[in-house]
Order: sequence, then structure tokens, then C-alpha cells
Amino acid sequence: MRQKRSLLIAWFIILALPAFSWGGLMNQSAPPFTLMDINGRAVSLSSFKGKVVFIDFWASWCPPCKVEFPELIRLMERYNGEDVALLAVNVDQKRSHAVDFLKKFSVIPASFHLLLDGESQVIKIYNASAMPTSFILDKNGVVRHIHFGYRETDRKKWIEEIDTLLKQ
Amino acid sequence: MKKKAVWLLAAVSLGAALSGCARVKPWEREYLADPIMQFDYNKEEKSVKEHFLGTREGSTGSFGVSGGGCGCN
Amino acid sequence: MAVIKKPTLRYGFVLAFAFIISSIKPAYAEDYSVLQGYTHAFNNSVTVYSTVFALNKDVSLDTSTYFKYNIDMINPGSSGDGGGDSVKATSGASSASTAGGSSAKDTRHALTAGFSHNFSNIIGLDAYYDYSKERDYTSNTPTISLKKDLFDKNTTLTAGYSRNTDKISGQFLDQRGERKTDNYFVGVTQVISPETVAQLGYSKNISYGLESEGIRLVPIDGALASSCTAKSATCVNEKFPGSRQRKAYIFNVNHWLAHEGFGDLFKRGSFKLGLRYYEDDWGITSHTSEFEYNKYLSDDTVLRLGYRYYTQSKAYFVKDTYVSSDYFKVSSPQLEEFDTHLTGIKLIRRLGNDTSPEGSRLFSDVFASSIEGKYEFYNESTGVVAHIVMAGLRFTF
Repeated sequence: MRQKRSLLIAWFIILALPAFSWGGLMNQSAPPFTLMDINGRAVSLSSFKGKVVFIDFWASWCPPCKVEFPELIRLMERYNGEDVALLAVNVDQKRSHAVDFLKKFSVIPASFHLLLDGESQVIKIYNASAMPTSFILDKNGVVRHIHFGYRETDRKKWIEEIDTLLKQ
Repeated sequence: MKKKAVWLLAAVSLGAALSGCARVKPWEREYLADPIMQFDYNKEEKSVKEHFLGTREGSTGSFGVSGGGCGCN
Repeated sequence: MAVIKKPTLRYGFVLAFAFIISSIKPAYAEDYSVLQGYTHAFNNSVTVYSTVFALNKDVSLDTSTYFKYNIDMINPGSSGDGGGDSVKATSGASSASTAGGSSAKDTRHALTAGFSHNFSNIIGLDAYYDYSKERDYTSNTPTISLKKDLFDKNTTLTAGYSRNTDKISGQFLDQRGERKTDNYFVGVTQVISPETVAQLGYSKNISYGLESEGIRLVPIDGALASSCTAKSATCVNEKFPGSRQRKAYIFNVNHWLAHEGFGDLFKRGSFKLGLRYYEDDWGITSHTSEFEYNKYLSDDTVLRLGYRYYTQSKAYFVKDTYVSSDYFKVSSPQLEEFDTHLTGIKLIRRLGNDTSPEGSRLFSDVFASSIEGKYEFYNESTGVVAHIVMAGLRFTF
């Protein structure tokens, strides 16, 4: 009886443990990459030097990514004409899945770049530990903020972080 | 026998949870997120089926476990 | 007449477990609604028509609500005795069950309402309430369950509890009875590879109170089952033990099929295997094996083929005939030794297209996203056979 109770207590302690997060790239230069965008043009991270860059790894099969995506569009609408670029890196294995998902959005801002990483080569280097994971880079290409997953409070944090980085 | 089974379940689950032996990355869960890989995709249909079987058979209760899926954040 | 047990919510905790196992979803679960219709047609003319309406709606990123209404209309039919003799053969006593409500028209209403909440990605909570009512039965079941995702370990831990209270007023009961059932459940889901995920689970439930349903009589001291239609000195109420402890162990594995060759039979599909072992203190043990094959016939069409085999031993107090001095007397066919087979086919068709990928727009942002139909054939070694037909629509918004 006592054994069973101990087992139950141990079970609930494990249930209550916080989720583990890893921030290995924090304050380091973001690993360079070149990927094709949804229109078949090559896009390099290096070409955004001098801008605050928001890199978001997402997939059409990931429910929180679907919730986050319209928020990313709104974010870029807010920074229209400013030195901010968003690289939305899609990791769907089939391009058509990403294309189908994007049909829901009629207008995507010019600073919103849709890149394809179907072989998961770049996301592997960035070692995203959740879906979605986003990295905010300062104007020198250094990773200053990392967000694992998506939460309702993230939009406010993104804006605060981007505004701070824009002033630097 | 019964006690052993409980402890076996506990040992396997705690072992799996703490060892981190399964190194499937979040972006590798595309297939796991597919509806046909879910344990509980159509829970309404599952509920009707289990109710029907529960009225026919003599050993109701516990048909499955929660979890799985895309394991996003 | 065949012993077709009236399909009721006699075991409310079945649904409770169904919810523990299936309801916990991330709060990101898609907003959806389903409308489904079912027909369970038995080989003694008993037919059950069911309609299910369910609605799942996110109220925030961390909280979603769920509502379901299920109505079962039980039509006993006018005649027919498809599996009669073979059903009776399982126990001389069981044929007396025809004296009960199993031949009566009835309607069952079942409501479920609840919510899921995710506490800062630390723990997921589900709370549900099930209510079910029919002519001689009322069931109330609150359920609570917790889920913990250990993402870096690819592991999900689950623990749940529900308490079921049934009020039973079967026609042969002298007074209304009550049964309470406590259900405990723990489980672990482990991602093994990008193509494979497995589950282990253990459940225990303890019920006490009136274990009988009050809808069957038992012929004793040589009385004929066929004449046992009303209570008498030789047609008496069932007498069960006053409590029951059940334990079940489950193992499920799902595997994504990505193998070339064989006409792409094993590509873009999945194979599911489920095993369950059950035992209780009434001496019943059961084994269940379930296989399912899913296949994308195209981007929009999924085929599902399924087979389930179930076998159980009989309760220790079940006898072919009873005398008045027997302490326990039962006629429930569920307590007999028997096997069952369930074989089925299902097709799901997504309704989206290039201009409206979410489905056929009905109005505003409400889409009919998929349509589905299934046929299942159920047969018991007792001779009972049922044809199950289902049609459903899924909406997203």
C-alpha cells in the first residue's frame, strides 16, 4: 500500500516538472544559411545584415505554428518599412503542404520571407527544441532572443525585443 | 503477477521519461502529427464504439492512453 | 428470442475512460464540430439509431472547451430471433433476460461538457462531466486527468481519475439501487522514432453497490427460461457480488508506413496494433487484439481497414442452472465465456480544394472539412451478429 502511494507521488512529481528548454545559440552569431524561398529564389541570411532579423521555424502540421502564423504577418505589418525582416522557415517535407497552408493568407508583407527547409538541414543546425521556435537577431546577426513554442504573450515580447534591438 | 505488472509499467515509463533515449527531434514529427497516426483522432467515433462494446462484453474500462501527436510546444 | 442486451450506459465509466484516454489535447486543438449518425442493426431485429453532435472550441491558446450530445434510440423490432438458439446455448439462465427491458423501446440521452487547460506548458489539465439518462438508468461521471509532456524525452505521462454514480431502476427491482465506481488510470506514451509511437497503460476500477441491472430474471429449481417472464418463486432477481475490482493493462503502437514496392500499399499509410489484458475479481479475464491499416488513397481520401478480436472467460459464479440455495444467480450474457470479432472498413474524404483549402464553405468562416462513412460487421461466438453503419461530417471554423 505504501509502495503504491510512493509510486503515485513520484508520478505526480514528474507530471509537475517544468518543461526543459535549451538556449545554446544565445548571444552567438546566427549560423549562416541559404535556402530557396517559396517562389524558387535563393535567400541568404547574410543579405539581411544591418536589419533586425526574426527567424521562425514552422510547419503546416504543427498546431501552435498555425496559430502563430497570422501573428507573424501582423508583426511584419507593424514594422512595414523599418529595418526588420522575417524569415519563416518551413520544414514540411512536401512543399505542397506549405503551399496549401499559405493559400489561407491573401496578403503577405514584402519583409516576410517564406523559406523552405524540407530536408531539415537548417533547423538541425539551429537545434530548435520545440515547434515553432523563433530566434531574434540583432543588426549584427547575433542571436539575442529565443522563443520556444508559441504563447499568447509572445507577441508583446517580440515587439519589446525588436523595438529594443532597433534602437541599438 | 499484478504487482509486477504495475511496477514494470512504472519502470518502463519512468525509464523512458528520464533516459531521453528516444532522440526524435521536434521537426521530425511530421508523420507522428498526421491524423492517421493519432491514437485518438476521432474521439466521438471511438466513444460510440467503446460504448457499444461495453454493452456487449464483460470487461469494460481502459481502452487506451492519452498522448502522442506532434509534441509541439 | 435472442438475448440482445439493451445497449445502455450501464457502464458509465467506459465513457469516463474513453475521455481520460482521448480528450486530452493541446489547447491548440483545431476548432471543430462533428455530426455523426450510426445504425447498429442486430440479428434479432433490434436496431439502435444514434446521433452524435460534438463541438470543440478554443477560448484561448491555453484553454479549450468541449461539448457533446449523443442520443440513442433503441428499437426492439417486432419479431425475429436470428441468433436465438445459439445465444441461449451459452447459458440456460441467460435466456431469461428476454423478460427484461431488452425488448422495450428506449431512448438514451448523453451529454458531455468539459474543458482542457494547459498551465504554462508545465502540465495539462482536463475536467469533464458526463451525464446520461434513459428510462431506468441515470449516470453521472466527473472525470479529471493530468498530462505531462516531456518534449525533450518524447514522452507523455498521463494520470486520471473519475467517479461514476449510477442510479438503477430496472423493472424487476423492488427499489431503486445505486452503484459507485472509482476509476484510476496511469499511462505513458513514448515516441520511439519519427515513424513509431507506443503507449503503455494501466487502469484499475472498483465498483460497489448494486451490480445488477434489475432487468433480468433467473429461472431456478428447474423452471424453464422461456416461461420466466415475471417474478415468481422460480423466477427471481439476479444476485451479484456487492463489489467488483477490475484491472486492465494496455499496449498500443502506431507505425507510419513509408516502404516502397507492393503497389505502394505500404507507403503513406499507418499500421496500428493494440493489445489489452483484463482481469477482475469475479474471475473474468479477457484478451483483446486490434489491428488497423490506414492508407492515403490520394491527398484527399483515406481508407481504413480494421479488425478486432476479443475473448473472455466466464465469471466464477456463472452456472448453467441455478437452485434456490445458490447465493449468486445471474443471467447476464456478459458474464459468460465467449469471443467476438469486429471487422470494418471506413472511407474519409476531405472536401477542400484549391480555392478553399479548408473545405466547402458553408457560411462565414464555417467549412465542411470532411465527410466519412464506415461499415463494420460484429459477431459473437454466442450467435449474436450486428451490422454497424456510420456516416459523418466534420466542420471546422
